[in-house]
Amino acid sequence: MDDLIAKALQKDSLALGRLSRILDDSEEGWERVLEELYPLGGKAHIVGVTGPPGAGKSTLVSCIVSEVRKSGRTSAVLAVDPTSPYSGGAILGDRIRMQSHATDPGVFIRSLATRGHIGGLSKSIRSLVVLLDAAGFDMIILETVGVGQEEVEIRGQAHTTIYVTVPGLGDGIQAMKAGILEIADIYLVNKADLKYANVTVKDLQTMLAMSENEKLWSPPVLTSVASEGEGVSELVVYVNDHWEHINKGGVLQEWRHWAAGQSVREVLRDAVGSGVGELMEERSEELSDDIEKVSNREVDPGSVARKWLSKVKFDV
Amino acid sequence: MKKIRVLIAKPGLDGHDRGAKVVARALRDRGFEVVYTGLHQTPEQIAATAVQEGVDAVGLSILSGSHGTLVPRVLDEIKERAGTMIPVFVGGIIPQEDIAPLKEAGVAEVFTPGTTTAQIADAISDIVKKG
Repeated sequence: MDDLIAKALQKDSLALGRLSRILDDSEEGWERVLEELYPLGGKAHIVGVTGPPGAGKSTLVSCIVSEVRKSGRTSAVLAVDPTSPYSGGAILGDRIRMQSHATDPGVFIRSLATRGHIGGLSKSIRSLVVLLDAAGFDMIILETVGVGQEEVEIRGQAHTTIYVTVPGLGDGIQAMKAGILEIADIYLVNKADLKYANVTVKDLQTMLAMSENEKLWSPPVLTSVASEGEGVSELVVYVNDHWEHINKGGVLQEWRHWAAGQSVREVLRDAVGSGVGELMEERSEELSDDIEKVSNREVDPGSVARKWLSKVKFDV
Repeated sequence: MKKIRVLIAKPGLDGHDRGAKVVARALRDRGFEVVYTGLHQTPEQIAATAVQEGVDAVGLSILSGSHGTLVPRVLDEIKERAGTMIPVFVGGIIPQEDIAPLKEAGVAEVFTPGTTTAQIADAISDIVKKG
């Protein structure tokens, strides 16, 4: 394991691929990997790319990587696609748009399945960011699954969030709704060569103008045609500006504290959840006797839960 | 249970990916995580992707008749980049007399037309579980 970690710190893609698997699958020793790597990170600029399915996120990520590489910086990508609720399997197809970077030693791309995690990312994404950050990639790009209105988890993972949309998905009222449209630092209307792109831009601008929060950063609304590479260099200018902005004036420090809080809370909740899960599996017969009692109205669900809660062993 | 991760790739210039997509979809429905890279992949891209994605097996779909050239190059690239061999499966239009040489070169199994997707999933999962 020490050998793997040492090689990963040199951006060795075999070691990074292996450790990604260990972290994604919670294989033996994954906790120690994080213990060792966490103190080494904190330098990378983490950029989130989110938006509805088919908006062009993967194509755009590939274009951003090209721009970042042109400036001599290294880049890693974590691309998430959904897991089937029926089979537990997944088609991880984001890479199709990114294969021109496959053999570049300054780029590492890893596809992830949600594995039932709600929120647009995978449960393991936090751990993989720790790995890639420690390995020294200058920019880590997180591509969420195609999202709807409420998958705002990216906010707690990325320093800079780009919301990608396309023309024709809804009117100005859609743009006023709460949720994902509130959280971005940069708004991008992709496929801007399509009809009514200007209407979508206007709706977003109107939505942003109505915001009464006193903000130090006013999110721009940009346009692109990612398949042609149009608008990408302008986008990257704003991405870099945002990074500079949060590095000034303590914004980053504040974000880090908030994100660390999110991490600790999530790990705690997960630990409790899996502790309960294991107990229920281990003593399933005893539990099913209690369930039968609930079903017969001899006892209420809360009393059973309280009785069982005292038996849970937590193993973080 | 640990998920099986597979890369499905189409090397070379052959532009027919229906078969690869059918297999990818069938493996998904068997609970595999399938990384799909699309058309026109070089052996270097396939091997680099297999390594970065940490897959348990690689499936190559070749309908063009160029398996004799492409497959050994993919195998060499994987060996070089991964240090050890990741099991490689080949599917497509492969003449009967070419199967033995491909297996000698290191291919784990060859699937020709008529093979069911269930047979493919079983074969991959057997070899991956054997380690």
